[in-house]
Amino acid sequence: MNVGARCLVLAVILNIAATSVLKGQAQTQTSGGMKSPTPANAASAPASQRLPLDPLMPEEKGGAERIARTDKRVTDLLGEAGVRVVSVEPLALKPESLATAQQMPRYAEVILFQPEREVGAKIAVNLERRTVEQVERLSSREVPMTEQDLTDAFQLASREPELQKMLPELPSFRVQTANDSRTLVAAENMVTGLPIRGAEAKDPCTKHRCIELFFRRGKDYFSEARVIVDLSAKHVYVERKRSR
Amino acid sequence: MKVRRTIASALFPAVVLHVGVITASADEPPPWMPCSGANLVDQKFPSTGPEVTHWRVCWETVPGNGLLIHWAYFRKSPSSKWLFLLWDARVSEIFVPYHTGSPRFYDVGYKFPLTPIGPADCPATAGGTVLAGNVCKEVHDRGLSWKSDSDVYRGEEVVLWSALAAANYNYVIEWTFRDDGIVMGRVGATSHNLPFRELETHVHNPIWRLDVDLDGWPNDNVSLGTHTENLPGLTATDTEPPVAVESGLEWNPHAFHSLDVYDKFLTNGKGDRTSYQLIPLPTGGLSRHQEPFTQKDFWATHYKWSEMSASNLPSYISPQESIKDSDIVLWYKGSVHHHPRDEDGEFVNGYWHGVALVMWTGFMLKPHNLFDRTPFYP
Repeated sequence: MNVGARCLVLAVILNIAATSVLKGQAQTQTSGGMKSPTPANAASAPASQRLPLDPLMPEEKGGAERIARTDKRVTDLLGEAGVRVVSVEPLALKPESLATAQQMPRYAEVILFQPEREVGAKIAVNLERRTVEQVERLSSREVPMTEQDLTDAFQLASREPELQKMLPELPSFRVQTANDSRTLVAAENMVTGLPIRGAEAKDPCTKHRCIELFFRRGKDYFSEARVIVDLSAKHVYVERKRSR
Repeated sequence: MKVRRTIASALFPAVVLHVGVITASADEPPPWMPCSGANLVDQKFPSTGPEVTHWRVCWETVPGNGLLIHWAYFRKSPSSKWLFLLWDARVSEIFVPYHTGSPRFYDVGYKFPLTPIGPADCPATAGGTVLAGNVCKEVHDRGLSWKSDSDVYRGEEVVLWSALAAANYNYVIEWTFRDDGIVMGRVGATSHNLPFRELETHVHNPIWRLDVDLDGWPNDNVSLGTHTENLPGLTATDTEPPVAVESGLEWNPHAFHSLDVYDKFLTNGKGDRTSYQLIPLPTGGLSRHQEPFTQKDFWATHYKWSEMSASNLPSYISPQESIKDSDIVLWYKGSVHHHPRDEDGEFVNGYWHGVALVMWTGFMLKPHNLFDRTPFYP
């Protein structure tokens, strides 16, 4: 075999070897050197194969909420009746060191809220052991608001005669949901809101859970009234704009 | 191996390219990451051609906080070890007080969803790829990396961004990982001025929580990089006073303050201590308000899993625990001063019509003595 032919054989062998190693490397690049779901099937992979920070599956969220709600530390804090789930999200609790991180289990952070008692809890649920590992008390002000708070606030505001007078089309409004924000075309007559806090002792919203409501017609916002709802006191403040 | 490359390269350059990649990555295999699929970003630089530097990053979206970064590794060369940099980086709060004293909004205090992201937000022509319908990944040129007379190198970066649909506002939350090891975080405020208060000046204050773990944890330390002009006089000095206990700190632009985090054991190939410097990138200024958590620009706290809320920062540092050789979290408050202007919109029949153009503020995490020499320089 001449030198050229030898080089050709060598090149072919190298190419085959390279391709096979690259295939292995491609899997490693995706999975991080651990047997794990490929992108295409990550969502449908069994819980045991999902990595600690892969998004939570609906069944995991439901399971985490159930585990959190029935934990004695949580029921002692919140009771059992009237407890709302605020959020269930992936959580990474730091192990002792980076060297042991590969063994860290999948966790969920569950936030629950009891509006009557005005208290909430942040709960770390170990999804593999199905146990609660940490519980932190949250004051009502620390509990994030959700569509449920917005719905409650809008119901209270809808009964306010002054607002009904200023905004006759009030009955046609509805609460803007997360799904609404995913649609590229805004729906007509929607209500949104922002959490608001006072900075002075005399302001009820310094201690209470308060939200300011905004009324949106298509892409534009109603500008003639300011509407603040004190969810703790179930009180609505309406301020009319002075003429410019 | 060198001989084989030489012979083969003459005949089959493509084969040699494969061999080069194998040889390089065999030195230092990619580290394990706690995410997979679209949530794992694996980006080498330059984006075409032989690798010089490399990022591996996990991201996640959470209602309220928006786009988070979990875990980031950087490799400064194919034969170097992967450096762990971030455990978690997120916008902890966006505090928005108005000039008349009320309202005072806490925009991360609501589990706001993310806006949809489509090809119009994230065009392929700008290096964009839409991830999961609400995140844009852009890989593109970032302008000059260095220039020396006729020699020049243009850098690249991978940018991840999403937008929170925070009632009337949208907040663009952006994370940039550059080919030179720099990480940048920015928040952009845009969309509709506040209904009823459309013409009232206000400040959007994003506060970032940055769990920087240089080469893992614990063993991290923080110092305040400080430049001092010895006035009256012509000389100046640089010092790095250690921040030994949990603290809130002021950023003084005249002192070029930076919050520097370093690992007790980590040095570069020259034996120089490696650090990452948290450097503010304000647009116009940084505000102070009545609320105590807004009265410092930097904070350094000991890591605790439940300490995530910027508005509670004063309580997190009371009592002040030691943060020497420990697991440290850095916090930084930026500000966007929004003085409404006609460009924001107009009143039409009792409704506000128009949107405020994006206004940005942010920071950078800049490596210091990570490389042994100028990266991307022949």
